[in-house]
Amino acid sequence: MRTLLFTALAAVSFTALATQPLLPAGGSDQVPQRVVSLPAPTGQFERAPVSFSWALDPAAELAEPPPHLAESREYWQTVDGAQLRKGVDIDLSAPGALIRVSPARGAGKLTPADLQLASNGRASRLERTASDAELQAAGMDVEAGTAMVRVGRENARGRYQLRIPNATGRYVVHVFEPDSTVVLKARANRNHAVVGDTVTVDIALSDAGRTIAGNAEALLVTPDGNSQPVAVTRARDGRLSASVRLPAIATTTPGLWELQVFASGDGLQRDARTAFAVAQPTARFKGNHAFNTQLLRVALPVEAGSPGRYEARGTLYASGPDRVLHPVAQAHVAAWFEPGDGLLVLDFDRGHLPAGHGAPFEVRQLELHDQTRMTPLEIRGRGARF
Amino acid sequence: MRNLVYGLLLAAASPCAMAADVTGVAFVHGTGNQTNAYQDYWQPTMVNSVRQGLANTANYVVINCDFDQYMWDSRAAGCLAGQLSSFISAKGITRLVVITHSNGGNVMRWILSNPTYDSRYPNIINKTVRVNALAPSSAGTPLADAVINGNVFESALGWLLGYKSDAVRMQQVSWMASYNANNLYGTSGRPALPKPFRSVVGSDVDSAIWDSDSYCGGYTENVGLETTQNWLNSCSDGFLNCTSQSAAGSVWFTDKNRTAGAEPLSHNQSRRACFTLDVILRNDVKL
Repeated sequence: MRTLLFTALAAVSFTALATQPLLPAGGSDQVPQRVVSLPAPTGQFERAPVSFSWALDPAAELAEPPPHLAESREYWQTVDGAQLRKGVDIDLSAPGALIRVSPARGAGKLTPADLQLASNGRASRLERTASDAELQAAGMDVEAGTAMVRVGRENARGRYQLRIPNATGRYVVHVFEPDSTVVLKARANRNHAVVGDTVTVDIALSDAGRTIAGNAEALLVTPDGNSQPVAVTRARDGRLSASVRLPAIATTTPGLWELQVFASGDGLQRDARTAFAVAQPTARFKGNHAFNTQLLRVALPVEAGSPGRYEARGTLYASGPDRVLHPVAQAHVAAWFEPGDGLLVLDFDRGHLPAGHGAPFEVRQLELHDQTRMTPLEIRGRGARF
Repeated sequence: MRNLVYGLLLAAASPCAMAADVTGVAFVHGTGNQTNAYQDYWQPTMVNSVRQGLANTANYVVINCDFDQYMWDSRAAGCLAGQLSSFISAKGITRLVVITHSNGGNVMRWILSNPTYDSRYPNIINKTVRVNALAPSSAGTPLADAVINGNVFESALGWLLGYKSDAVRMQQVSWMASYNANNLYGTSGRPALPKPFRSVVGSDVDSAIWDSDSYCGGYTENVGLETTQNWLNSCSDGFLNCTSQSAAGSVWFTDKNRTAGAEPLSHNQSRRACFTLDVILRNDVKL
């Protein structure tokens, strides 16, 4: 029945009755190999079908952004009040470090005057910075009772002891060295993935560009806060990386997954985090399409494994006077689907076609999104050509 | 059958032209759950100065939504869409100028980037002529990373320091990079937004106690921003790097190029009537 409807629709709107396969997936494309059945998430979701398109500047150069490169000159450490009363070692690499101590729930609140720093038994000068209230007023969402100080710039690189005589409960000590040359860099190899895919994070700890032979640990953290350790391996050339096959955890908490990295070398610590979207394969393109060159419409059959609102989006490239493909329009279409087969029709407006531009066309960055679970399901750099 | 009806609907003509233009302006706040943004977030001096640029000075709306949520949340973008739709409908607005501050720029950019997420979005986009994004956190802020980190590496014990808002999580630098790559438009390499998104970039913070400029918008806020600048580049408004503020759309202007006395706009001052910012915005809504 659904196939019949699709054929009927094609007869109404599409001159090319025969569906054609989508272009072969590229190396960085994300194409689910199956669909899963999940319940519809709770929440308010649009049920009406919506379609929208707009013109693009044909001179624009579009490219998938590379994954974010995280750079860190800071680390965080959880400590007990008893440890802080006795003294906690802090290794600094540059003048002007900021030390922030935040109380956990139930821990004693602090003021900057409570913090003491010493090196080899000699007190080190600390400068006052903004109070917790002043930081909150500035938009930095610190806990009440957080104390922050700056280490006097005359203090050299080395090991210090942080002491807080009135500490009670648990705290997070955050050390940030804005002027340090010791930097941890971490970059995931992708912005998005489907459960079962493997994500790899490259890790590099360096001092003024010189690689530090340090150690690193990694942690995979899901949006609901669950975590699992991830092994960090060292290649023959000394490069560190962490790879993890994403488990099929059907978390209902919105948000991104993270691969957090904790590195140390030359007695110094650094933490960094990478973030990426992870999808359960709730739907996928069926792998074919039909098109109407006159109306600039592209019909995309969809297989839904789970109820939800699914959106197809794509960028129309048209051949310019220079016979080169240029981006000319963007179209989105979304509708609610129950499990089974459905159809989404990208409706590019011919009025958006710049003068001198025409066939052949390509739909690039063809994507299928799950709007109810906020995940990109399928991403094809080149989707269709007609 | 549904698909057939849907296909036929897609074949229908697009909306026809409207009658004489009616310009309105909307003020969209940043992170936080606002119930009286007119008094608390923008303050009357700013709002009442800007709306003097309208032919009908009553054609303005100050948005009050819960922007502690993720940008797409019904309490964030959903609420914004509801209040903008009501404003457009009640006042017969045909040209909407949207003025956002900070994370409000992300919520508005969500609507512009995801027109099919909500059936109210297309009408809002069609009526919008431009977004004047004051200090938008388009690429996030390291300050969000600073307060979020330390919360999760003892997840067996639960969130150690208490759960930060989804809006703060979302504005971590790595998270915004992912949302910009997957869900939002207007950043480098991504398709352009359907309507202009122009940022006003704040480039520095003055908090000297002897300098009267430090008191515009609130001295306490500026003192805190002077400290938070430590996490940021030399060009920042105390909360956001200039690179984040200019990551999406186009840069309308950087503060010192247009403000009175070439004063910088701290992150707190870019939502207040400081150094003729209100006059610049007032003149813009006349256009």
